[in-house]
Amino acid sequence: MLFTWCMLGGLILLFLPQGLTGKIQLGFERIFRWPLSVGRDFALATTSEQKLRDTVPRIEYERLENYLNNLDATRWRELERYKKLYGLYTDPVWEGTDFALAKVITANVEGELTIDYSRNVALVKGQFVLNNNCVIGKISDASAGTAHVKLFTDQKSAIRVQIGKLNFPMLLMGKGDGSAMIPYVSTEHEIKTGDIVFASDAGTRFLDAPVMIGKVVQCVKSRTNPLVWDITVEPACDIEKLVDVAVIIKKPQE
Amino acid sequence: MRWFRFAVLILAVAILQKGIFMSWHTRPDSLLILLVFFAVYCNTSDAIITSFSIGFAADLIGPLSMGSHMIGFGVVGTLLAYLQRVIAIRRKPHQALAVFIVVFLAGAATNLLSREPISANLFWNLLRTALCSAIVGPFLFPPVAWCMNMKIDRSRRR
Repeated sequence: MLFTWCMLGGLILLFLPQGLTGKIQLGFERIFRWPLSVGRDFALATTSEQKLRDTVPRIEYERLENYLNNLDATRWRELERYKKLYGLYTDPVWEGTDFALAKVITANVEGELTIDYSRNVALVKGQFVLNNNCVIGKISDASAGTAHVKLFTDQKSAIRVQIGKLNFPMLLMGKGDGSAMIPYVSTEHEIKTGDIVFASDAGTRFLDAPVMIGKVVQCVKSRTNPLVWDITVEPACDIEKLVDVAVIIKKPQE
Repeated sequence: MRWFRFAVLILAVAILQKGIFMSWHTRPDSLLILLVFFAVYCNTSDAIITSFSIGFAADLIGPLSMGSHMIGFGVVGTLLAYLQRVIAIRRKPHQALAVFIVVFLAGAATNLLSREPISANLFWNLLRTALCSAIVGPFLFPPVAWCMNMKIDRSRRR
């Protein structure tokens, strides 16, 4: 009888709407925010690397490299616009955009972060999350100061992207093992290892320009269909060592 | 069975699992180690309640949808509690084997019950977690018994 009652409780939880159960999980993380963040700080401290003298820290190097790649993509995009619009003035990429800074409470290496943000800001599902000037994922759930971030490496993640200067839509799908793949790209397109992958601003109201998301680490012909590439993408920043992130909040057009 | 101590212990272990262990690639499942402990050293009805409670705690820390851990852990814990009536699992190698099998079965059941797609690496992830838990688990039983003020050095049939 006891087993039956407990199973009934479990089944009720299982069939509750995911929005409601998500709020319960967020509520738990909000209540125990302090011990969870202490645990995370401890985990980070035990995995930190020893600094060398007269060198730029790796994290700073990655931040500057990603900033350079974003500037290059923005410059190219602006040049295309100028050509199309015959010199009409266009706004700089980030004008009209605001950011919400958030602290990482917990990180799951398979694909989800829990972040703590200011309650004065309203976060919504679908907003892009940045670290070191590159996109790491999107807001999947937010409630009163705590939010879940679905990383682009998560199995359920699908983000529209572009590779380098190739201007046609591709979908970046997470694999759940710290990397993502881009399927159904014809071998007619020239793609190679090391190419930069950008989160595309096409079809989304949360981005004004392409923003770097990762790099191609493997590009081989698919075994099942030799006419398409098997492209693997890895993040442009170290997701395991995240401490702070920024959420892009796009202001409505006036 | 001291239920308040049990609640505090489960809460502390859940926070530890979420706050520290979740950021490791290879990690023990401390909640499942506790599940095996209570299934082995408590009577059957207490073991059923503790299994479902530990499953609920695992649901709270995510990341899968709620309910899947509660049912998966509850069923596996109940089976282990009934098995304990027939085979006493007292020696450390036997406890390690029990932890290994429980982590595998509970992990598989939880992923099947959740409404999310199954990862292609599920088998290897479960194997890594099961091995790590089996190595660490039996050595955690004495401190847990001390926290719960339970005696674990006597063989007792229920």
